[in-house]
Amino acid sequence: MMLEVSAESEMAIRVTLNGVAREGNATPRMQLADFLRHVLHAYGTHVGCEHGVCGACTVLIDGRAVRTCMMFAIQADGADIQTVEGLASSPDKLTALQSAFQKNHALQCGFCTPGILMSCVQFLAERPQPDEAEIREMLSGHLCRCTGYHGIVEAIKEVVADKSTSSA
Amino acid sequence: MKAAPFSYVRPDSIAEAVGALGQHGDDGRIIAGGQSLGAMLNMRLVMPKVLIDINRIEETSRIDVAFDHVRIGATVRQCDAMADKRLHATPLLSASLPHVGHYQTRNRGTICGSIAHADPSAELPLALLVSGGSVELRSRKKTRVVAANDFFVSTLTTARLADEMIVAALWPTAKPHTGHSFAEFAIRSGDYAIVAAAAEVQLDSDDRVVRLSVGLAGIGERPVLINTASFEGQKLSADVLDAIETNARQGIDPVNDLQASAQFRTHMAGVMARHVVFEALNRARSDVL
Repeated sequence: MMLEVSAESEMAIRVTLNGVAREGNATPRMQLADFLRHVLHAYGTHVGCEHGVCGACTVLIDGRAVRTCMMFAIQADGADIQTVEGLASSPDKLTALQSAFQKNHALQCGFCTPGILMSCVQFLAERPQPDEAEIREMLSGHLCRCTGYHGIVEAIKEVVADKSTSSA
Repeated sequence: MKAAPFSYVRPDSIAEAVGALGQHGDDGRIIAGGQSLGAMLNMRLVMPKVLIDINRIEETSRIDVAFDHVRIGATVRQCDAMADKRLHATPLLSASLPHVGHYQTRNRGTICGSIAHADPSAELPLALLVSGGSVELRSRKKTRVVAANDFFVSTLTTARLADEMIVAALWPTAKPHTGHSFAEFAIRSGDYAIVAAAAEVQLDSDDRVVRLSVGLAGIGERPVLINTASFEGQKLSADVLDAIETNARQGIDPVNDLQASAQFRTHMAGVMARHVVFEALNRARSDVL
C-alpha cells in the first residue's frame, strides 16, 4: 500500500536514535535535522547552511554519513540514526577520535565538529588506513572556518597511526 | 530555509510511482537521493504540491549488466555504484563518479538523480553523453528510451515529460581497444566544474580512430559533444590534437560569473578537450598492446 500523507498532516516517525527507540511527529516538509533537534531534542546535530553545502548536520543513517538538511524526517521513518551524542559514553570518556580532536586543536568554536566526527566514523570504519589525500577528500564535504583543517587532518592521522600500532 | 508545504507519497513500485506522477503531473516531483532537489526545495526554487519518494522501491535499486550495456536503476546510489566491480565495463562512468559532489553526498545521491537534475556543469550528464548512453523513461502508458544527446535540453531542463519517471540510465559497455578520460577544473574539491571534459577513443590495430567521442560541460546550458567526425580513420597526430583544441572552443556559449569569465572558460575548454583526448588515446594504445 502506497503511503500518502497530506501537507498539513503529522505522521508518527519512529527511529532508533543512538540505540534507543524514539518517536515523534512531523509534517512532510520537516527536515530531518529539525526533527532531531526540535522534536527529539537531540541538539548535538548542528544546522548550518540548510542547502547541503556545509556538512554541519551530518549524521549516520543506517551507517552512512548523510546531511540531514537534505532529507525529510518522514523519509527516515524506521531508520537507525547515530549522532554525536552516541559517541562518548560520558563527558569524561571521549572516544579515541574525540580525544584526538581535543589534543590536536581540531576544533575551536565546535559548530562543524559533530558532523565531521560522524563522517569520520563511517570513513575510518571503511578505510582503516587512509592516506592524507583520502582524508582531505572526505573532509572536503565539511566546512570549518576556525581551524584551517590542519588540526582535523592531524587528529584523524593520529587515530589511524594509533590504531595501526595497537593492532601490530 | 524550509521547503514550502508539500504532500508526500511513498510508492513501493515503479507502477505506483508513475501512477502518482500521472495523477499529479506538473504538481508532482520525484525525489531520489535529494542531494540537488533537497537544496532547491529548501530554497523554494521548486515548490511541488506532491513529493513522490522513490527511495523504497526495490526494483529500481539494481545494477544489471547486459551484453552491450550496464543498466543503472533509478535509486542506485553513487557510492554503491563506485564500489561495484561491474562498473569496470563502463570506465567513463567509473572515472567521473569520484568527481561528483562529496563523500557524504555520494552516500545518498543517485546516478539517475544527477542526470534528471541536468545541471549544465554536472559530471554524470557529460559522462552519459560522451559514452553514447541513454535514459529509460516510463509513464503509465509507455516506456521509451531517449539518447543522452536528445535528453539534455537546457539548464535543469530535459526531454522528460511531466508524467514520466526516469527508471534507469543505460551506459554502453566499452568496446575493446578503447581508452577513456575524465577531467575537471573546479576551485574546490566537490564543486560543480568550471569546465569538465570527457573523452572515449577506440583505435584499430593500425592506431587509427574507429570512434572518437569528446564532450564538455560547464560551457553552456547543457553538456555538448565536440565535432570529431572528420578525425575518424585518422591517426591522432599533434595536428589532430590541435584541431580538437580549436573545435572545442567553437560553437560554445559559456557564461561570465564570479568564478570564471567566459573567455577563461573558452580557453579551458580547448585545454581540457586536448588533455582528455590525449589521455584516452594513451589508454587505448595500452589496451591494443
